[in-house]
Amino acid sequence: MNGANILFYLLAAMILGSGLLAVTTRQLFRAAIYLLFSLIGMAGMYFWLQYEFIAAVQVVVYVGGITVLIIFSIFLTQQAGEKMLVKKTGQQIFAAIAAFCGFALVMVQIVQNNFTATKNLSLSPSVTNIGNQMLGVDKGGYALPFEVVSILLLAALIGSIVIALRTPTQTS
Amino acid sequence: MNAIVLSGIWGVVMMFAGLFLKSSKQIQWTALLGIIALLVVSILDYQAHSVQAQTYFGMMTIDVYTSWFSILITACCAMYLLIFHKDIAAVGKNEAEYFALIFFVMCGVYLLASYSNLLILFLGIEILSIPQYILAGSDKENIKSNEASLKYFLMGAFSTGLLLMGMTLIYGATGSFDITSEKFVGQFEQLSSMSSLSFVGILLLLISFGFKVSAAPLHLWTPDVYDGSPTAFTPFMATIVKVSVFVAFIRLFHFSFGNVSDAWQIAIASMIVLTLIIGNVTAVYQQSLKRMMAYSSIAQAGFMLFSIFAVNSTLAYKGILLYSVVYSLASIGVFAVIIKMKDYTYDGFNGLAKKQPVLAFTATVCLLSLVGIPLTGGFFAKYFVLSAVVEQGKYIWIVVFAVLMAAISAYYYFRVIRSMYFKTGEAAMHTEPTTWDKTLLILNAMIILLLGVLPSLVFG
Repeated sequence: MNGANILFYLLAAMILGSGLLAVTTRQLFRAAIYLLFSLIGMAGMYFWLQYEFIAAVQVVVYVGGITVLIIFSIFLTQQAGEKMLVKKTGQQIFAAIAAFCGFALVMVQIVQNNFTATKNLSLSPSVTNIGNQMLGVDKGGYALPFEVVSILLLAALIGSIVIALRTPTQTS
Repeated sequence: MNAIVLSGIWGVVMMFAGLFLKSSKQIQWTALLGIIALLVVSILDYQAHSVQAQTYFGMMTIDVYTSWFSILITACCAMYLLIFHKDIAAVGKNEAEYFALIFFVMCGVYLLASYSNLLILFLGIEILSIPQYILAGSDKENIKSNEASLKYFLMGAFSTGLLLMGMTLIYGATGSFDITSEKFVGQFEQLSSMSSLSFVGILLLLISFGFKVSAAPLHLWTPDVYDGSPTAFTPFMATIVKVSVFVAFIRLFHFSFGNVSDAWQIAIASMIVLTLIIGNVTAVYQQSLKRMMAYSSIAQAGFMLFSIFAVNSTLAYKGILLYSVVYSLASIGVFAVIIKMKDYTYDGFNGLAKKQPVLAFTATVCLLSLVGIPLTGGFFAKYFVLSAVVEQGKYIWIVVFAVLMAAISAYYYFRVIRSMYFKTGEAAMHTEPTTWDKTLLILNAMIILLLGVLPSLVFG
């Protein structure tokens, strides 16, 4: 076992361990923090794969953005310190069955599928390449989805203002 | 392509209209102008693409079928806006934004009709869904509307998760998002060479689509959302949005997964059976007409699923086109009458025929079309989707079952007609229909009757 392998298992343990803690803890705020560590572990995994840009995006968007958003909404809605109620046994059994089915589905896929290791990258994940691809207008370029996402975000933005606004702003 | 651009731009225009236009009338006229412009542009698109299909950046392929569907769906949306524009403006204070969101949804509709890349499919479904969550909750004072919005959002987010998971697995198996690429086509050439990743991927996509078109057992959100949403937006969600998801559904499952249909046909068959039973039988027990229409939309989705089921049949494409138009117009026609009433229960409709003969007549035509009575468009719509399955020769018993279920549906649709014509009552109105409303409703009913005689009009 070389250093890279050890690093991989450490990261995997961090992701899975904090993921497990996130779903088992009974305090919502702690769950969010455990999720944060799980996401940081994912970023570490991307670094380990030498996808530096994606790792940076993972840190900025998920660790920096999403988790903060989750924590904000917990503080706005729940009593952050209080413990969540224990679910009924029936619900627990159903949840366990559902979780097991999901786990079995993923495991069967992993076992059945032959994952062949390859050394050649299909694309070098440099920022230049990603940028060119993202705004490329030739075949395989992502300019169209990039623009469409802006419409999606605009619609979501208008929607959230409509929902959140108490009275319409009067601007002349 | 121009229709996609214009619908996006007009959403922004509507936003500014809310800022600069003072009167509600002007905002409504801007929206109507927009939908007419969209109709013209989609007709121009159709003429440009009628000769040969065009691919945009390997992301979208616009061909005759796609652009013809765009025209039809825009026409249905134009009918919806013409009939409901006053009611939309009356829902709340942010009227311009409601219209803006409707135009954004139309953008998603065009994307769904023409995608050739799973990424665009995902974005199309999201652009379609997110404005709907807002529209469902736009009546902010009403707790049922809040519930509808939240329920729709949570369930919708869950199904989007499944959609993404399915896409990921298919990407893992094929190495491509482009459904026209060699890698993608090669993977789904025959069942024996398909990897298990794709199989699970197809299943997850099926579940996600089933959720979006409210097929049982994934329909649980539908009654509460359609019932709780403001009545002005329910017909939009139940018709235009639903049928465009169907077109996206058929596009992926026929063109890409058509050769491996043995893997998923049985799942669709069980969905159809469940949807027809649950939709029709539960609709019988409803007291509120609005809720009955929600269950009826589940039941109608069961019939539309037949077009997905009948793989590689030209009748199925014709069927879904005709079904989309006829079902949309008929539902819009019924909701246009419901929204004018004070009381949404069956008793609230007692004696409507004496008081408002025009409304009662147009509602009757629409309801008959939903049952599938000959001489209305609904008959040929059901005929085409069912005969597509018969033509295929497998699973004939489902067709027999569907006809039985259509007979059950006659009960709850005729019950409305009985209330309107054969019972005496006050039929209290919420708003009095204007001559303009009546003209539009008669035009709507006439189109349905015309399609009952000449269904080939929608085949292009």
